[in-house]
Amino acid sequence: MAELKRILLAEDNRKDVELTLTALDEHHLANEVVVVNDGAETLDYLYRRGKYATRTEINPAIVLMDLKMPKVDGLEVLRTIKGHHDLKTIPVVILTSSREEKDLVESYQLGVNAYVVKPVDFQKYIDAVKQLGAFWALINEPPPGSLRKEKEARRSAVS
Amino acid sequence: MTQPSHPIPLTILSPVSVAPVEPDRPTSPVVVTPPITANILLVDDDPGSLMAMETLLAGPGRTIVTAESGQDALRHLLQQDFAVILLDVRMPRLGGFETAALIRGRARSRHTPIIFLSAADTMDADVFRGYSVGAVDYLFKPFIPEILKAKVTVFVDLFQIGDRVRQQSEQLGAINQKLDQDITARKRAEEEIKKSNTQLEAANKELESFSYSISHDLRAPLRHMNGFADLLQKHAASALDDKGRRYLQTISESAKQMGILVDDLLDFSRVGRAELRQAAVNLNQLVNDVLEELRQDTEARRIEWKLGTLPEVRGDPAMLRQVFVNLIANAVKYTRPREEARIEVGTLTHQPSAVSREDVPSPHPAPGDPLLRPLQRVMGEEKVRGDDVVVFVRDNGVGFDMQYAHKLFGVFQRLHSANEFEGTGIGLANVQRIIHRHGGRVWAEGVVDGGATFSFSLPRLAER
Repeated sequence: MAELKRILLAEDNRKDVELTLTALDEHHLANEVVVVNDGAETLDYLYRRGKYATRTEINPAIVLMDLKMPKVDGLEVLRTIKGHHDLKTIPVVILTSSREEKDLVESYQLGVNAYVVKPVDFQKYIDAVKQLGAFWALINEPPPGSLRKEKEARRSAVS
Repeated sequence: MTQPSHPIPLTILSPVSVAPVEPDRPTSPVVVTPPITANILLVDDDPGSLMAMETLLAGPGRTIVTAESGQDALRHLLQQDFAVILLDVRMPRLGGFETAALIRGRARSRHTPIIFLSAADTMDADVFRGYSVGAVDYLFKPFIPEILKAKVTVFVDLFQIGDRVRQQSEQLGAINQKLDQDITARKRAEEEIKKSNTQLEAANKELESFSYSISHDLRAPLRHMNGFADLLQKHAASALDDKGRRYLQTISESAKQMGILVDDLLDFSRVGRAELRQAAVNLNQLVNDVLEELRQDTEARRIEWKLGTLPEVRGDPAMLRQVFVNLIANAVKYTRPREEARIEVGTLTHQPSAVSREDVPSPHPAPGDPLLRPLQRVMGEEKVRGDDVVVFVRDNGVGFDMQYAHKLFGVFQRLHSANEFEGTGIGLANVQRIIHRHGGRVWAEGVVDGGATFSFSLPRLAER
């Protein structure tokens, strides 16, 4: 089951994907990431539709999501997830360039679990993503039905 | 009611004895003109009788026209309109009844009142015939002068009142039309305003979405530049010489700098767009908070603070806080070369003419203090309304050349290079924008190497 991963990264920009994976790799979490490239694909993955129709029923422990994505934007995806009785328990972290107040307000109104503005400074960016990955994929206890961390991952996180 | 359906030439005459009663309307736009001349037509085949009646009925505001036959009367009726016609019943050829029938037959004279004059032995049947052809009254010869006079006067008055009513209704019509036009014009103006408001809203929206895109899309490439330069440095550090590493460093720093500029510009745009909250703000409390916030930059420095008692003002607490953060942080920054910095935050609340030593918080600068002089000068230039609160932040730092004072508050305008003093040049632009939005003014005085004073005015709390 190739898609059995703990982190769902919804990001349309390949460069951002690469930088984020680089940062997550500091906790050896890069291999735990499924990348989807727009909002529609994000929903397909979560609803197990289209090319994700055969994925297991287990949900990711965390969704890291950009706001500005093609087809369906992040806020729309967030609205759908948080309005769905099974999906709404999945923690969603918005990871975006924008610190526009209306995005912040709307995200929280829709029930986002965290909102992180990507710093331009790469070191700060690495730190932010590392902390996010460590917290949500390793430290936080995800809701039942999510993929839990394995002993191996726990060891690597502690080291 | 006599109401000629045709306009009658107006003659300005003094009012007749019985003027129509009209309440005083001092502010009424209706123009009152003297009563119209009433034409009276007397028709009788007896010249003596005609003359007697003419003498009896003549008076100001009246024109008596006489006719000795029915044909003669009809000729006059072709030329003019009459307030009343006195018509003898018994005339040769065209008798009174026939004449009356012809008068009634013409649209223009259909409603002209006719009084029949008749001999005393007139049969009742004749009287009825008279009424049936349109008589309004019947008088029997020989008539009593007072009665004749009174009856004619009634019709003359009726005619004149009717004419006045017609005039006034015309004037009212004109006024109504003008009101209609005014209302139409106002509606059009309102629509114009609505239209420009819509355009303004659209422009604002556009600006908002513009800044939104900048926020989203402009920062991403910078992040990538910085990120990949960093990765390259890690990846190829050993393969690079010092020069190569410095180049990479420069790329990273420039990207970071651009990121800061973008953020500052977005902040500036936000300061202009954000809704202005209104609350009572204790400026002393605000300054203390700001000093706490800036402690990281000040604790390693020797700074002598002089904090005057500041007034309470009405404004947006967060925005006013930003004003003090920018001004005080500037004072801290630009006094960095001083072994001991002096930074003063104080207020001037009196009229410009009252500027004196007492107006400056203690310790008072000497009257000849170069820092006080420019302030007095500016206060004298009516930059401040008498009732405004003026707050200043003064330092003994590197100052600036007054020649460039006008550039200080421009976006990204700087009077120092980034090597000397870091910064993007957005802080004072924000200060100015915030103070302007509060209805105040902002200005600066400085001397190269002699310190700077930044002042702003705000409406006093009690004013609002």
